[in-house]
Amino acid sequence: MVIANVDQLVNAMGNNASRIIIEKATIANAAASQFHSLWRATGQPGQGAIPTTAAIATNALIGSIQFTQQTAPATSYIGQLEAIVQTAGMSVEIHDRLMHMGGLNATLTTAQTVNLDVAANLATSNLDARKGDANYSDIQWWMEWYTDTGATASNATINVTYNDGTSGNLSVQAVGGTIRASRMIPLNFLIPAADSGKYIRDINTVTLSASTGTAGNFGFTATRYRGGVFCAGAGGRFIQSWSDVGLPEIHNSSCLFPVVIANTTATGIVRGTGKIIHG
Amino acid sequence: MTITTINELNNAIPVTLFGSKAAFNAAFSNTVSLWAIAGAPGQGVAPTATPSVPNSATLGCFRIPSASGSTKMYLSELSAISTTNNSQTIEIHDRLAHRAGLVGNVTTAQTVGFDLSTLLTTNNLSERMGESNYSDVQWWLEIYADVGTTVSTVTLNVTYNDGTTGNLNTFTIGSTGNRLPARIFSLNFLVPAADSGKYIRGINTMTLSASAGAAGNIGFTATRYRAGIFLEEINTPFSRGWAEIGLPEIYNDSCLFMIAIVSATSVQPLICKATLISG
Repeated sequence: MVIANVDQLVNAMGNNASRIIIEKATIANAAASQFHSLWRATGQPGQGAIPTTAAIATNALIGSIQFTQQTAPATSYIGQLEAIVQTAGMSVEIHDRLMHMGGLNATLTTAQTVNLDVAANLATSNLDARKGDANYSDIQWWMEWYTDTGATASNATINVTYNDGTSGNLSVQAVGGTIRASRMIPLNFLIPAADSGKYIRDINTVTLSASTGTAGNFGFTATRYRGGVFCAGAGGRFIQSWSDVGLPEIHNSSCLFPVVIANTTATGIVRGTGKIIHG
Repeated sequence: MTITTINELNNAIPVTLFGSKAAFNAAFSNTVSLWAIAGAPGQGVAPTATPSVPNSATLGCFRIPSASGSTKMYLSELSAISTTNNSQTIEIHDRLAHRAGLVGNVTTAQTVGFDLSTLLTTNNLSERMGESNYSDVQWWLEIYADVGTTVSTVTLNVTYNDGTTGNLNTFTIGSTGNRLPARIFSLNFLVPAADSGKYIRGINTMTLSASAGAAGNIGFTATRYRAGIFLEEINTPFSRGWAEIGLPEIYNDSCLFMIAIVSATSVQPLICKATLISG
């Protein structure tokens, strides 16, 4: 059943919850004030694998935060979240990794197939519920780096399909300048003026204007934000209660993983705990 | 009985756990165990070379009552104050098991022989440790006596939850900030990529790359985190209620003690109060 009142919240918090445990090793070569995925960081949860062709990410993957799956109508929510970081001014976010792909080459200037199509996979792994709104507006889209790419300037033209079925190119995104492994570049803000009001449901292809000089390995990831903690001080344990985090529903099969906004040139050791409560 | 409503939570009879630990020398921005620090709860002693499971009667932990029948206990509140040092975190852990008696001045492999799976029937450990796959357990190297100032790389061979063994990623002891009594080193984030998705069940051996300079006294401790609080300013009491700390269940025989992430080399007295309620 859903958690519909404070009594049920108290009961779930104290008696029916899965524990979130995060203890991730540092990732070097971070960029201050930029998003970084901890998917590939070692520790707990374990290091996730680099994806290849487009695939749905689920709780079965190493790299995902584990929680007890529920039988409907039982419902799960993040009820509490905490984080400690080594560098002041970092944010630790929990995302549901919906779909991902990798293996793209940063030296090619021909169109590379991405085919990250949420719409075509709604019937699998509870993706329809996990993605949120039917118009795909709850999904955050990212370019994600798995291996460093090169220094030569290059612009990525990303062709997408929108929720209304039309296709078009996002505004170009610069990908030169040696982008490092773990970096995530958000894409939703690149929807051009001509496609205002539309939401991305599928990434079709990516074309680079020039070789960056190093093939590296990058890909695309679709996530849904679930909660986050801002850690104002190093070594401080910052806490979000159920009302702070907003009691986000966590659907079965969710592939929860941490994303950070770094504040220096390394992500530092990231520790986090919390509770996924079950109603 | 369990606490299942807000009224039951509000009307539960509280038991106050009071902690006040003396000043001691630490190292800036490091994690320290208050187990063997004088004050309240009483000063714990370094464990012996035989792995053991401390309980609520062990000197060094908060004294908690025993719950009978279906009654459950929970932490409902945590408060703390520091009169001298700001920006530090105090955590309440259940000290599940420990051993000591290892030395910092030999380079041959030292047998640790510390496996939780052999201790599960002692002092309610199987319930206290949480998930049966050991994923709720935090592992630490704990220093009880100064190991010397020479930097030495530590290699730990562990057994994972699936019965396989392997070495954790290495770390160092012996340098400034990494040698004094009370210093503890978290180990969970050191699980290497090759063992991603596994959880540490036991520690088999410790090998130092060099003598750190002194025998000292080194041990290993397994804990389960229960709650924490960040003290942003001095002379200011900070409190966290049930919603913020997540109403963690406290099991019979729990050996609750404090771990701190300190912000100065001279850690002044810490005062902490926790409220235990039972349904």
